[in-house]
Amino acid sequence: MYLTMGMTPKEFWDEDVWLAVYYREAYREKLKRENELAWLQGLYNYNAFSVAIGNAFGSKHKKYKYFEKPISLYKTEAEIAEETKKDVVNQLTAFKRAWDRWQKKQE
Amino acid sequence: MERVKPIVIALEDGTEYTLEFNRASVKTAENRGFNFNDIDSKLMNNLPLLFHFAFRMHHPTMTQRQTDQILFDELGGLTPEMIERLGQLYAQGYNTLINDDETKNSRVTVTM
Repeated sequence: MYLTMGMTPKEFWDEDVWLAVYYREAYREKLKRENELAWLQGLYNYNAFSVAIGNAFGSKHKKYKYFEKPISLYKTEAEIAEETKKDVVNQLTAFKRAWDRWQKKQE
Repeated sequence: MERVKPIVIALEDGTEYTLEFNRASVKTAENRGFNFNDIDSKLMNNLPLLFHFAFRMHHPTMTQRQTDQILFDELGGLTPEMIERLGQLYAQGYNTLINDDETKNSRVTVTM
């Protein structure tokens, strides 16, 4: 089983026994990544079929388009900045609410 | 499951020995009749054996005579903590093969 994960017999028998644990975890991550890539491929296929069938059988006046560019897997700097701003606003709002509650209790 | 650190023995002359087990040394111990479960009942036999096999991973050319000399003359025996650590190092060879968090898509099921 460990041979299928890329471990050599020498590593299994002669090296650190914890290598088996690390190989197992690496294999698990690899499977997870492959699963995610397969899902992404399915999404692209779904879009392609939808566009083809929609254009073939759909309205003459509306044409569907395939993705113009690949789906972004990473957030842009602008998206990160926007999320950070929202987090800060939410925290300040929560602080103000707690402060107002405390003020009311004091009165 | 936490990783157990190997034992490092430093002698007066500056020589250092690292005591650890890999699967090959555990297999050798078993092939030579060592039974870990007998360690409490046959201490005089099994403790020097366990100590000797712990050298095999990093110092495979050490003979049992040499390891016995270190055990009895240099160290004067082992402390209970060292014996426990040796046991943990020995068991690590098995324990690291046990996958505690098997996924639900495992191909093998065991019914008892």
